[in-house]
Amino acid sequence: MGMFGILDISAAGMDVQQARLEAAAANLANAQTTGQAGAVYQPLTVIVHSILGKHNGVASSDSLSAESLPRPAVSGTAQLDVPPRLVYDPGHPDADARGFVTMPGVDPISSMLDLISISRSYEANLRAFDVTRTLMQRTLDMGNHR
Amino acid sequence: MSVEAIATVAAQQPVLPDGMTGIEQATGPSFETVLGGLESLNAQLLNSQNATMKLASAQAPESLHHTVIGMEQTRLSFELMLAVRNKTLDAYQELMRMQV
Repeated sequence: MGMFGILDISAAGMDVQQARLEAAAANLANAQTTGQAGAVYQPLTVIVHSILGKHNGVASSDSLSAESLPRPAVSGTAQLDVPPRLVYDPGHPDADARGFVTMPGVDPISSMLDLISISRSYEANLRAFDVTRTLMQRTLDMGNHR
Repeated sequence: MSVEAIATVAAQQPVLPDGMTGIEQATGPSFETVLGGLESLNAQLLNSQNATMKLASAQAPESLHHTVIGMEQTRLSFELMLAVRNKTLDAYQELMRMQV
């Protein structure tokens, strides 16, 4: 990949933040759903691991190249094991015998904090990408100002 | 006009500088390698055009940032080609301006 390997690292970071954003959006979108027959939406979380590059091993300082650096990757999504909220609403078709409706245990405050964290992390990756691109551009312009 | 007087000179080998036995083929990479690079750059340009079209028509297999990063890579490759071309042309014109 050569000179563009470093851009791939930023792309991998943005991929991860996008997956986190999708999970957070799904959690917020499903927050007001009701559970039918005990089955209720479980909030999702994204599991991210750092995987090593092609050269398979910790990059030594003398052969430090963008391809050998570890990069983040989404390993999968998992359902958070949180208890559902019980809302008293006896007239609701999904209400149980005692008049309670089960709703997902999505915490709006921590969801908002997640969104802020995702947004900032994505911006950080964008910034790294921008700096790389600007430096490449400045290098190409080298010697043009005679 | 008769040129018989110099015909014997003309029949001889061309005059070469000291130490040179003949005109040799230039070694090193030929222009074909440059053209090959241009072709791969063209393929890259077409690829990012395709990706942009797919993104615009909502059938993108890739995400927005991958498309934009691909476009930036293509742009940088193009500017690298342009920088090399300008430098080569500058060198050529410098040689052409040389007083002999």
